[in-house]
Amino acid sequence: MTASAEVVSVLQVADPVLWAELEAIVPLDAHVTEVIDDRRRVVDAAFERELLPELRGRVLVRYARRDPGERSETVAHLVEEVASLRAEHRRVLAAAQRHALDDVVIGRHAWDPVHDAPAVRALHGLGLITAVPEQDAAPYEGRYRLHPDLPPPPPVPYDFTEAVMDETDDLSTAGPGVLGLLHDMASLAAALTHDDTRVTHAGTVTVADARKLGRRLADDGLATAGALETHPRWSRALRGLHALHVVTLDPLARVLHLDLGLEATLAGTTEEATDRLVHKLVDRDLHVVVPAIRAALAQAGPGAVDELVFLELLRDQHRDVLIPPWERDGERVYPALEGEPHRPYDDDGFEVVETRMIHAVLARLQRTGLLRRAPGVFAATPDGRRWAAASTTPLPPVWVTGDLEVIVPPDAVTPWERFQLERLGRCQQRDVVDRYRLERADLEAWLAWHDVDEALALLERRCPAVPPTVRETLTSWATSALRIVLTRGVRRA
Amino acid sequence: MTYVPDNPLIAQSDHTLLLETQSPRFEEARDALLAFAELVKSPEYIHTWRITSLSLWNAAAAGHTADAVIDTLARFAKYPIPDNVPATIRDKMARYGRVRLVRDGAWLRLEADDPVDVEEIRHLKETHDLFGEDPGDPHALRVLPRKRGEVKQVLTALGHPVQDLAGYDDGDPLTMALAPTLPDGRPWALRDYQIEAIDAFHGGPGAGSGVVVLPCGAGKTMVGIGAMVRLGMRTLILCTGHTALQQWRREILERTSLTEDQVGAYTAESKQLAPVTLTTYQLLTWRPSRNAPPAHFRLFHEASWGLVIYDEVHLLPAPIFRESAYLQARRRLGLTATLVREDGHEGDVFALIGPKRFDLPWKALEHQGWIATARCIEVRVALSPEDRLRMVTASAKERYRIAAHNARKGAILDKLLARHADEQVLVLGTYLDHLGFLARRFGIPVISGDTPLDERRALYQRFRDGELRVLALSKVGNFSVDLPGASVAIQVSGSWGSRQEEAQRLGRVLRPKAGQNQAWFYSLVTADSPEQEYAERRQLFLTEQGYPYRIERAS
Repeated sequence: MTASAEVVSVLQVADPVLWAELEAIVPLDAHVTEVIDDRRRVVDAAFERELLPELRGRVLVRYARRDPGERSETVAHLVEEVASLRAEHRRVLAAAQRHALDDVVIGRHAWDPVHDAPAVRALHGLGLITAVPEQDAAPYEGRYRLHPDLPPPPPVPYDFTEAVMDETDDLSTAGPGVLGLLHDMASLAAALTHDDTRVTHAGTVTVADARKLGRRLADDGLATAGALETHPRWSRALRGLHALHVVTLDPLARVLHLDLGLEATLAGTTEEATDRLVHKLVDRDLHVVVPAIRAALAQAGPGAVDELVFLELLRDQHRDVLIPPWERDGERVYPALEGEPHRPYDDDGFEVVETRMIHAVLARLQRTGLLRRAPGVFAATPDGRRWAAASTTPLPPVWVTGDLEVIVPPDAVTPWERFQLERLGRCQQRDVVDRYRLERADLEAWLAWHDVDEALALLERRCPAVPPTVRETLTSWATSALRIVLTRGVRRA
Repeated sequence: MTYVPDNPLIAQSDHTLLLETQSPRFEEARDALLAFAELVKSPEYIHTWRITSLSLWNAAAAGHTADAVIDTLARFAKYPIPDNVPATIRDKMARYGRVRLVRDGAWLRLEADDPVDVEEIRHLKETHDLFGEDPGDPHALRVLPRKRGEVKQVLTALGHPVQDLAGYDDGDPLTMALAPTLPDGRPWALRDYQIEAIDAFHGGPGAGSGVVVLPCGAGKTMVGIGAMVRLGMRTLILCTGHTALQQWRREILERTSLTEDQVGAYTAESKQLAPVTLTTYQLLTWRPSRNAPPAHFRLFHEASWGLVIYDEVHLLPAPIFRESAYLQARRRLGLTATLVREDGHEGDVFALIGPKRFDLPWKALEHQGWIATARCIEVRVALSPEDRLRMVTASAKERYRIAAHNARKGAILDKLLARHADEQVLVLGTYLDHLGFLARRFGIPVISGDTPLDERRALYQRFRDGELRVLALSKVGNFSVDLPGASVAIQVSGSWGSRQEEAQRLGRVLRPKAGQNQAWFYSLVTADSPEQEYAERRQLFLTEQGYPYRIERAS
C-alpha cells in the first residue's frame, strides 16, 4: 500500500522579515493555507492567479525535483538484482535492452515468445520489465517498458579485424557531420526554453520569433532574415529535434515546447550522445545493427571495412544479437507475425533479411555523415571515427573570465554541456570559438529547475579555474533571486 | 594549418582576437599585437583584442606591412585563421598610404599612385568643396592648406585614410630642459616606457602627431612634458579642468627648467599667454551666447605654437575637434587612458590628432611596479527593514536613490576608516547630501563643485602634505586629480552604471606607493537593490582590465 501524497505550492522567504515586505504589496494572508515554519507557507491555487502577477520580478517560481539520492539507491538495488538473475533470464533481459529504444522493447524482436516466456514472466514479476497494455498483441510479442534505471547490458565481443582494409580512392565524400548537428540541436533546444516560439498555421516559425531565436543563437543571418525553415543550419537542427520527438506544438497557443527526453539523449560523453542519436535516427527495427557497425569502424581505425567480410563475420559470430531466432517444430526460424509462414534461420535467410537490414543502416549512416561508402567498402568520416572510438585526446579547456564570459573552443564541451551552458548563459558569438555571457536573467531561469551549485559545477567541469568573482557574482545573484521563492509541485505526505 | 594547442591566439572571423594569458607565449604575442590591434578588455585568462580599420591604419602609419601582420597572427594562432581575416588585413592596410597629402608650394596636394583613387575621391559627394582648381594631373588633387584637417577627417570616415606627409610649421623656439632633481632635491628621470612613448611620438613616418595611451597613474603628464622638452617650441596644453591645469603647471615648473613667467594659465580668471600656455576644454568651448562661436578659439592662433597637447583626448569636445581641423600644420599630441570614446569619434581622433603612437596595458605596468597593485572590493550593505519597505514601494528612480543613501553605509565606512587607519583615504560619492552627511558624521572635509577654487587647492595641498588623512570628493574628483599619497578609495555612491567613472575613481589611488605598492578600492553597495545591479555594470570596465572584484557582505 502506498502512502498518499498531496502536491502543493510552497512560498518560502530567505528571512522572516520579508513577509512584511510581501504584505505591503499584496494581501498574502488570505491565500496562506498552512504555515510550515517561520520561513515557509503553503499557498492556495488562487495565489498564482491573483497575486503572482503583481509580485512578478520579486518572486522566483521553481519546480520541486526528485531527490538524486533516491535514484542512486534504486540503481544500486537493480545492479544487485540483475546480477542475481539466472543466466537464461539475464540473456533475455540483455537482448531486450539491446533492442529497446527509449526503454521500450517489442517482445517479438527481442525474444522467442514461446521458449523465452518463463524468463519474460520472471523479469516482469521482478518489475524489471512492464507490459505496455495493447490490443491484439499476441502473448509476449507486444511492447514492454524496461525499468529506466537498469544497468547497461554486457557488451557484445565483436571481432572484425579480418574485415579491416586500407581506404579506397572511390569512397564518397563526407556529408555534414552529426556532431555539429548534436551541438546545434542542443543550442536550439536551449533557445526554445528561453523564449516562446510561435508557429504559423502554415507550420513555419513566425518571423518575429525566428528573429528572436536568431539573436539568442547569435546568428546574424537568422536574426535579420527571420526565416528558420530556410536557414540551412538551424532548420536542420529543428528537423533533428522533431526527429527525436522532443519538441511539440501546443495546438492552441501554437507555441513550440521542448519536451522531456532531449537531456537523456545528450547525456554523457560526446561519443555516447552521438551513439544515442544514431540509434534514434535509424529505423526502429534496424537500430540493433548499429553497435556492430560501430565496432567494425572502431577496429578499422583510420582504415576501411570490407563489407562482404564484415557481413560474413557478423553472421558467424553474433547473428542472434541482430535477430534472435525462434524455435518452431525443432527448427530455428525468423520471427513472424501470426499466420505468416516461418522463414528458416539459415545462410540464405541472412542474405535476404540481415544483409538488407545492414545495407539500409549503412545507407542511413552515410546520410547522417558518419560513413563514407564505395561498392563493397565503408569507412568512417571524421565524425564517424569520433563516434566509433571514444577519443582519448584531452578536451581543450573552457575559459571563464571574471567579466562573466565563457569561452568555448571547438570540441571543448559535450552536447549535454552545450545544452546546459546555453540555458545558463547567452551566446554572444558562434565562431572559431564560441563566447557566452552569464546574465542574471538566465541564471534566474536556470534556478527554476536547478541550484546555483549546479551552475558552478557545470562551469568547473571544463574550466581549470573559475575566477572567484564569477562564483561570488552567481552566488549573489542566486541569493537575490531566492529571497522569495514559490516552489510548485512539492509533495507533502 | 591545424590545431596548435601551445599557441595562445585565437582569431575570430569578426576580427576579434582572443589571447590566452596562461600560455608561455602570452607576453610575446601581446607585445606583437600591440602594433596592429586594439586591446578591448583584459580580464584574467583571456584578453580580447580587435583588429579595426583604425588599428590597421595605425599599424600601417607606424611602418608595419600586411604580410607582417598576417605572419604574426599565423605564428601565434591556435586554430586555423578564418579566410576573411587575412583578406581584410590586406585590403585595409593597402588603403593607408594609397592617398597622401604633400606640400606643393603654398598649396597641398592629395596624390595617389592609382588615378582611379583620385577620380573616386573627386566624385565623392562629401568632398566636392574640399579641393582647389584641378591641377591637370590624373594622380593628384589640389587642397587648400586650411582644408587639410577636413580632407583627412572626411576621407578617413569614408575609408580612405590619408597619409599626411605635408610636415608641420615650426613654432617659436623655446629653450628648456628636464630638471635633474625635484624641488626637494630628490632626483628624477623619465621612466623607460615614457621615453619609448616620446620616441614613438617624435620618430617614424608622419611623426609629430598622434596619441599616447597609458593607464591612469602611469605618468601621461611626464610623457607630455618630455615630448615638449624634446621639441623645444612654444606649446599649448589643453586640460580637462582647472585642477588638472594646476597640476600640469606644477609638474612643468618642478620638472623642467622653465620659470613661472614662461608657463601661463589661460583661464577665466587670467588670460595669460606664455611660451607654454595651459587652458581647459571648458574655457575653450565657452560661448557668450547659444548661437555665438566659442569665444576663445582665437587662442589657437594667437601664438606660433609648435606643439598642442590634448590631455584626456578621449574627452575632447566636438567643437575642439572642429577647430583642430585648422591646426593640422601644428604638431599634436593626444594623451589618454583609453581610445574608446562613448560618442564613437575614434576616427576623428585618428584623422585630426593623429594615429596611435604608443600603448601599454594597465596590468603590464602593474607587474612592472609602475602603478600600484589594486584590490577592488564590493561591500554589500543591507538596508534597514524600514528602508527596505520604503524601497520596495518606491518608483524605480527613487529606489536607486534610497539604496544609494543607505544609512548603514556609515557604519561600514567607519570600519573601513579604522581598518586603514595608517593610510590616506579618499571617500568618493555622487549624492552631495549623502556625502555631506557622512563627511559631517566623521569630520571629513568635502570637495564638491561648489567648493571655491582656493579652498579646493588648499584642501588638496593639505592632503598631499599628509596633514589631512581623509578627504571626501564628489564627482569633481573623478578626473585628473593627482593625490599620490591616497592608497584607499571608498566609493559610497556612483553615477548609475558609469563604467568610466569607476575606472577614473580607481585611477585616483593607482599612483605607485612606497612599500607594498598596494591600493584598495572599496565600493559600498546596497545589497539586493538596483544599486547592486548598476554596480555590476560599473565594474565591467575594470573587470575587463583585469581587476576582479571581491564581494564582501557586511554583517
